[in-house]
Amino acid sequence: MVDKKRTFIQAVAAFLQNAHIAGFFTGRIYDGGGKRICVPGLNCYSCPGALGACPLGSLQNAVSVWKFRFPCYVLGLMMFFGASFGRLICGFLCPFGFLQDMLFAVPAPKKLRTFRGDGYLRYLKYFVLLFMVIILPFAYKYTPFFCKYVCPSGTLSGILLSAADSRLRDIMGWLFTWKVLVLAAIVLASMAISRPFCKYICPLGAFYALFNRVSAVRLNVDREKCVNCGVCAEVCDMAVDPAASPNHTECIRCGKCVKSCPHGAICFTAFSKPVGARGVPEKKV
Amino acid sequence: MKLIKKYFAALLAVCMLSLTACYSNKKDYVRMDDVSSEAAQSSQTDGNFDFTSTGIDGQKVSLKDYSSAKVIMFNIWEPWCRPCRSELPDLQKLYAKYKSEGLMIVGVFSDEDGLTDIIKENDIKYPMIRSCEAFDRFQTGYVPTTFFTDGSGKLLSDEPYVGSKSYEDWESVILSYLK
Amino acid sequence: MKERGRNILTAALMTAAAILAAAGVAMGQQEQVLAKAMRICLECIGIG
Repeated sequence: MVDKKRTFIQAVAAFLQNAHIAGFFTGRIYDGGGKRICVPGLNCYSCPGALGACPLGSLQNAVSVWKFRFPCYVLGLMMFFGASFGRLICGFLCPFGFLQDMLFAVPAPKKLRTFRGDGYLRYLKYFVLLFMVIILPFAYKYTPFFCKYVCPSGTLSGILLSAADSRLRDIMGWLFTWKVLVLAAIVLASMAISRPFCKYICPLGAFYALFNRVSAVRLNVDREKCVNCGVCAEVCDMAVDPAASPNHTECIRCGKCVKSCPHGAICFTAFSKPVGARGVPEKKV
Repeated sequence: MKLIKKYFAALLAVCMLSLTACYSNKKDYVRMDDVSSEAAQSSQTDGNFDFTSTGIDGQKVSLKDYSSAKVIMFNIWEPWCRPCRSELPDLQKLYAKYKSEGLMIVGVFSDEDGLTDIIKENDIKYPMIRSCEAFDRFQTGYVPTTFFTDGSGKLLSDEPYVGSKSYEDWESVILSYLK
Repeated sequence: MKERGRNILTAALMTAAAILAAAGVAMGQQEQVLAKAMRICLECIGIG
């Protein structure tokens, strides 16, 4: 089932974070005041349309300067997003998450729900966060390791920039080739698996995941209504069992379980107050 | 749904507000859209490049201080940019090799974080000056950006060079201007 | 009861985060974020 409301919100969020349309034609990024503010999702600041700064890139840069000062602003902002929404940001506001959702909607010969090693691979993103976003940039200075070597959002931005500015094409070397391969792998994987980047690689998702159990907006399962029918676990694209663990670190709060619960047992809550519609309630005989 | 809508409305409002925060604050930095019109004006009145700025020690400096050079290579860089930093030792070597033939290299920076350390580390002998408005017309939005003039400020490069180059690549570029 | 404790923790985290961010703004750290967009280091985005 296609959740049209959510897709609409995702599209609007992706557009708002990249509304500097002129940039796509001039090849020049927006450098106005908005770039002081970090957007909640993964959106490279060098995307020609980007109006805000990427929280991950800003964090790496802050940690990578010569005279280290604790990154109060960036970290405070990221913590605020996390404590407020947790991975709801992944499910509704992240443009790259939106891209993966659209790719997964493309018909493919095989759609994998899970595979051997999937459980272990989910921990990889925490190592990416720890090493490529924090430790390596801090140790080696002037190098945002995740942005430079991995980030597919940055690769997309590079492609869009070089499409409008030919000078960049002359400079592209092996590093960009590597990044394009990484992007291609993620794009292909996204057609077979739901949200592979979010599951295994995204350090921002890893960061927000830490807040999932305590965020202001979270999920609640009404134990009196839940009969453990297993429908919610079946529809979950992240292979979470919402009835067993409603605020699991892997839950991106897409709301599919909420909509599909035949007993209306799951709902979103804001500071424990129910918010939004529940699933289709079971027709009483 | 109502409360979630309120949250999103609030988030949307924040995004809208950020859109309204469209002004340039720093004196050194000029908006890209403003640059083209200013550049057009300045190039109409005076084709030659000139500037007035300060060096690291605060001493006043302008183009006439380098008027004896045959070729001036302005290297716009930032101390926090790794490829800019890795270029510096090569530029110092090229400066040492070709200054007797009339080459002058001028490094142009905006941020001072880590600046003095790298200059000491690489024993940079060519001058480093602070960026000013006069350099805005050469800003490509990327660093390092390099352009060339002769001693009188006449532009030698058609377009600024974007990105860092190897020692050999810069050498052939410099030699093409020195001839 | 458990939910109440969680909500208090949430509020505390949000407040601490807001204070942290405000402290960063007071130190002018948001200008550093902006500065990286004024002149992009190409290698940082994988080009060059």
